[in-house]
Amino acid sequence: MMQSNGQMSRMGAVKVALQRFAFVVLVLSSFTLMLLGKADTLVMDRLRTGVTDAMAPVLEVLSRPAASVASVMNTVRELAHLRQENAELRDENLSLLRWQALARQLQAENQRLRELTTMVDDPKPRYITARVVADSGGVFARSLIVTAGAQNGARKGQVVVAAQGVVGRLTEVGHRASRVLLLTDPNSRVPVLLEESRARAILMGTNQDRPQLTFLKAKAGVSPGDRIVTSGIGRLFPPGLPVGVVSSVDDGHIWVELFIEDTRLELARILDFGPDGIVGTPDSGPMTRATPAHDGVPPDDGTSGPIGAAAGPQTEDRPDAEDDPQVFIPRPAVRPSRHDG
Amino acid sequence: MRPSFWQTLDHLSRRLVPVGLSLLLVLLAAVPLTAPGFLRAEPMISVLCVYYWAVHRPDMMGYFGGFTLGLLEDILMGTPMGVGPLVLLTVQWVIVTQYRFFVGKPFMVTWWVLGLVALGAMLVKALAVAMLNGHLAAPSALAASYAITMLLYPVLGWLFGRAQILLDKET
Repeated sequence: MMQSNGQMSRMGAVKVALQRFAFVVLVLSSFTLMLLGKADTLVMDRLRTGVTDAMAPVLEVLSRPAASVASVMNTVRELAHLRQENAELRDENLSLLRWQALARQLQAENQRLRELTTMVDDPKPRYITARVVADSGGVFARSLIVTAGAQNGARKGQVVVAAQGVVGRLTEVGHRASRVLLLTDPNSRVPVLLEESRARAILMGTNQDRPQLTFLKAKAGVSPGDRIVTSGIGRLFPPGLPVGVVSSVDDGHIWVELFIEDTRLELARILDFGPDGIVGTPDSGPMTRATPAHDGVPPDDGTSGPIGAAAGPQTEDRPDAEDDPQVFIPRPAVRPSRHDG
Repeated sequence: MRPSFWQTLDHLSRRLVPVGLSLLLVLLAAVPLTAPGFLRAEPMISVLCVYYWAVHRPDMMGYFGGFTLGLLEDILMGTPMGVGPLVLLTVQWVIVTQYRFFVGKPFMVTWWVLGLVALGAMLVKALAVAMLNGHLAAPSALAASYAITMLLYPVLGWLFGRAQILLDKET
């Protein structure tokens, strides 16, 4: 009996020693991971993308019920405000019809000017539509995981947009899933310009809902309501993508209200400019492409459609993308008198 | 009598329930809530899981379980890798060394202690992320995360309690 108790206590002591050893080893492993992550090694990148890839199908399954609940809640809310929303939409439709007439006129004028100046077309993107399956939450980082990876043509650095504006860009790309760094993340820096004054600045993420404008020379001219678009400088983002509006200016800080609400995103679109990226040379010669007729009916691309409209990543070649009101035109406005880089 | 192969497999699968359930909850926490009216708040789900099992059945979730949970959370949430495991291992170590204190204590006491542990865990994580990324987290976001974590504990405690009853019956 005494011998048995002795054996038991020895086994207990060995177990405790093993647990302590495991604790020390795992704490050291945690510090090693932090150091390796800081060094930004390829191994860490592969580990992240590998785990994200493996978890993507599970996340997709888990996100379906949440999307269905959101759909039901949205429907209930919409039904409650149906009459008011209908009146607002009628007013908006009238206003948009006026804008449409103006836009057609400007488009024709733009086309003639392009022909006169034999302007070279910018490369046109292909769109990869993907479902958002994870959201980083927003306390320490702001990113999303989308269900499109290298197998769908996604590559690191590609720009991600939604119907309302720029979402961010891909920072990690796995085989079937990718991470989107949002504009609100503290590590995000995007070259932008004020649409009216054409003043250049950098949009800096602050880990809050509103990013900040920095490196803006003429701060005095900025006022709430000014529209911000991407400048295209650095060729990370194509020029002219809508970003947001200046929401407030206080103590030298300029805060921007983004067009997209990243917590409400269900689908996102990745702009694919081909292997050469935005810098790549266009395959078409100067003015070889005729502008297709505009039928006024935007195609149902699923980006702003109902939940479940797009079941997974969808790729599409969109030669007529610039005529689609839901799609952004990744080319600068024709301004012969100045160059925005 | 030696247990059969199936008995051993059953025993092992039951032992994996706490870690499996915790991993599932961490994955669920990453799922975006796009429904109107939901606020962006990030509860410290992994801390809740590790805390519960460290208090009630420390043998069911070892240090390796805590490490895995933290690593998965770091990867999904985009925080620097290693921070989550370090925080969870510290929580486990603190609770396991004070195990005698929790024996027979009512739920309210464990909830109150969680308040201190979660606060410490959050501050350590915020500090580590700030050192590695060079950015301090917004105090309002930290406060929201802390509040939602505390509010979620009774719900998760009930869920884990049900699982624990099943596990205790088996053992």
